[in-house]
Amino acid sequence: MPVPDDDPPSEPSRRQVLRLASALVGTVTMTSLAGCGLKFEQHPVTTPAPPTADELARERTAVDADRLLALVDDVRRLRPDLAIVLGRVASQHEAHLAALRVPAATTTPQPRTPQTGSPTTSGPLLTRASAADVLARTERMAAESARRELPDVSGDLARLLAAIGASRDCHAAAVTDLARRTAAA
Amino acid sequence: MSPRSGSRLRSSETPAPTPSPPSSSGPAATPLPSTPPAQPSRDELAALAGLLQAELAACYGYGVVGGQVDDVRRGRAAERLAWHALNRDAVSAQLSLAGQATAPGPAAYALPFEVDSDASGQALAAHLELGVAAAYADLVAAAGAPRRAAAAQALSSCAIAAQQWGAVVQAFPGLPERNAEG
Repeated sequence: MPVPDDDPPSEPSRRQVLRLASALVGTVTMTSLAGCGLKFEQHPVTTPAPPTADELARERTAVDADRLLALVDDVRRLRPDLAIVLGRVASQHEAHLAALRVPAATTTPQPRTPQTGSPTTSGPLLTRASAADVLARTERMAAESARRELPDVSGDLARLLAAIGASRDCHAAAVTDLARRTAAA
Repeated sequence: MSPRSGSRLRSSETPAPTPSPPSSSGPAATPLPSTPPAQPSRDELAALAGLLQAELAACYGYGVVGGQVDDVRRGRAAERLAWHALNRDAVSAQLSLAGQATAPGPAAYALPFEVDSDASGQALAAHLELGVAAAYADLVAAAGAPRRAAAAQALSSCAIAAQQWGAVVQAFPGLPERNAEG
């Protein structure tokens, strides 16, 4: 005589169902959290690449050009008689700046870099008598600064910096010459 | 590297005797060092060969200039001729040391315009200096780091000389393609 089966296996108890559901929820939660964690790890904080020697040299030479432009403006106020030459000098410094600071889309942001012993306008007090000399001296110093960059930069940039250095030397010579002639007149 | 230099004298097809220097005062400063510390690269050798041609043309041209300008300017022309001759010889020596054959320059060059007066003599001098400046700029790009400074100094010397001869030197002496942009 068959024994009656009063505990059928196919019917899980309410407690078993709850336990299973709880385990599933826990697993899903853990998996989601783990996924989130992985996601965070996929976006590490990126540090910008250090500037290259070319970028640093460009920026330093551009900073000098900025300062020279400001000095030329000061001298122009004191020496309106040199306005024509100084106007040309200023426009050439602007051309140098444009060549040195290529559009941002094609380069990484330029870092501010330490000074290189290049031109400064905070030296001797600028007077009408001294203005041309100070500008000429500062142009020569800036020319030397540009040439000091040459060993470390790419060939094309070296060519550009050498030309900018030569241009600054020409400015110095032109300002000195003109100031001498106007003084003699 | 192909030299990017612009205004230089072209060698003439009609040989003519090279004029002698108008005078011979001492050379100016900053000649190129005659003994490079390392073997120049192929690009640098090409730039040196271009520079040699430019210096040869300048030496010839200053002979013409010396025959046209007044006495005061003739002295300056002689100084510049001596400077270019010194650098011509230094460049030639560098090329020889590197095993490159250096032919003497042509006997004569076609002048870029008629030179028959003090003013045109000065204009030719300025033209010559700007041509050599471009050759030095090419050398700066091609030279190894230790040799760039001397080439850059020479570029500057040529640019200042061009200005003293009356040229309005543009923002990028020696870089004709950039000056053309402006």
